Amino acid sequence: MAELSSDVIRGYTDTMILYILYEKPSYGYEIQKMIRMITNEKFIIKETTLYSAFSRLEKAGQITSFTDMSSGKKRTYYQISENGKEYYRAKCEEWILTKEIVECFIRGDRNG
Amino acid sequence: MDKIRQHIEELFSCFEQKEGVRKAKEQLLEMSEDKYQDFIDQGCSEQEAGQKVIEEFGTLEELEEILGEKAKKPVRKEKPVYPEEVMTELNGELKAVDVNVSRANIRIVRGNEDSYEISDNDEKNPVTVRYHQKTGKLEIRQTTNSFFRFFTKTGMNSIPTVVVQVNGPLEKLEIENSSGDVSVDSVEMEFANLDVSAGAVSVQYSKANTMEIDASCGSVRLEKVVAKEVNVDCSAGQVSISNSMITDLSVDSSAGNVVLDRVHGEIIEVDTSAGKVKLNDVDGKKMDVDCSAGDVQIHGVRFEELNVDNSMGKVEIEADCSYEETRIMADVSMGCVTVDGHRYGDEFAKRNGTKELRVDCGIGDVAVTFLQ
Repeated sequence: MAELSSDVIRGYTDTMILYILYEKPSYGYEIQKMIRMITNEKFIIKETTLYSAFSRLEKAGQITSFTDMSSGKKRTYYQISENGKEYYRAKCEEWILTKEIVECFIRGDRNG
Repeated sequence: MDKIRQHIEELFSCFEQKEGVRKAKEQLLEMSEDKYQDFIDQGCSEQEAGQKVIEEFGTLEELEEILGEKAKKPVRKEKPVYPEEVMTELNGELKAVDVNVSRANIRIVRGNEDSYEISDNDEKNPVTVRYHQKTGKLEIRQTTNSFFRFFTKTGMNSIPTVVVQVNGPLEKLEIENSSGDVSVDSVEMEFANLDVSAGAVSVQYSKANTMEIDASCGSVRLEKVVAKEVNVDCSAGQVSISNSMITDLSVDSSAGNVVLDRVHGEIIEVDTSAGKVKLNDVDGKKMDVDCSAGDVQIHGVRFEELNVDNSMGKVEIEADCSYEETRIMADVSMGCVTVDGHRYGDEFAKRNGTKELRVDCGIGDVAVTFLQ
């Protein structure tokens, strides 16, 4: 089985988070679970990685956080900002371009 | 849950309690609590759930990375007990090796003394070794790895390698490995069972009475092996056997090519679902080749009885005997039978001879030639 190179995927953890938050505000564990589910368990993000992405995105003003107590438990929710939506779209475009470039060098008959 | 909190508090106690650190701790606690609850909801016991959350929680090094700060004091760490990169000589004779690991490379080699060595051991999921002097059995273990460690940072660590040096013959070699390569080099053994889920299996210059090889995905390579009985079961991956003497050989491959090159035996059975079969310079009394989809190429084969059954694909047989001494029955549903250059349509039968060749082909041409 091919192992995932962390370098490539690391550049896109922010994109994954923003994709989820684009729908609705969410909290840490829910986001973690969603990523796992969406990728069909192919990618599992660690709590620490997730947290560092949150604080990075928050600092850059791409997401904001608020505390919610309605579930009877204190939870920190994150919400995407306009700035974040813009960043998400830019990352999508970047990926499409990246994919196009790398694809030029992938030959199906050589990988096995 | 208390254990989790304690674990996280302990890790964070190594950092100066600044605002950012406090916030990170709160957040990570929150996520871990949710995760714990989720495990409980899935039916885990409290202890199991706690253990899982702690196991999957990052390391101190990862915390340093996300907090951008060095830890003040090294966190208490009970060093797991395992030898690191030193040859450990056994205080007794080695008779059996029993390996059950989740992620490690295993090498069994001939050496001047019975000993073992572990390198690049995984700190989170270490390989441990126990030697039972009474029975002469060496037990190599590693706890089951959680699946997603493959994809997380810790999973990217180099894979442990265990080398066992064997001086005399082994009574039993049992290896069960979920991921990692297994190699056996210049070892004599009575019975060997190699079960590898993901990784390559290679056996060379070795002798065995019975050898069972089960590889789910990964190649199997046997070279210069002498054995009474060898069974190879490979789900996806190439099987190649060369320069070997195996009295009773059976190869079963679901998807992947099978290549036998200079193999001498009595009973040889090759069964493949999807993939080519190539036999070169093979010697056997009774040989069966069964191929569902893929070409069958047999060059320089000596036999008393050879059966080839192919559903889809060409069959090419170059027999190292004469046309006169061979009984031939070739049957093709769609395609043409050619014997020694003469085309015979979809069926050919020759009813006398001391050797027997049967070919049954669904779709594809059959070509038989005789070398003598």
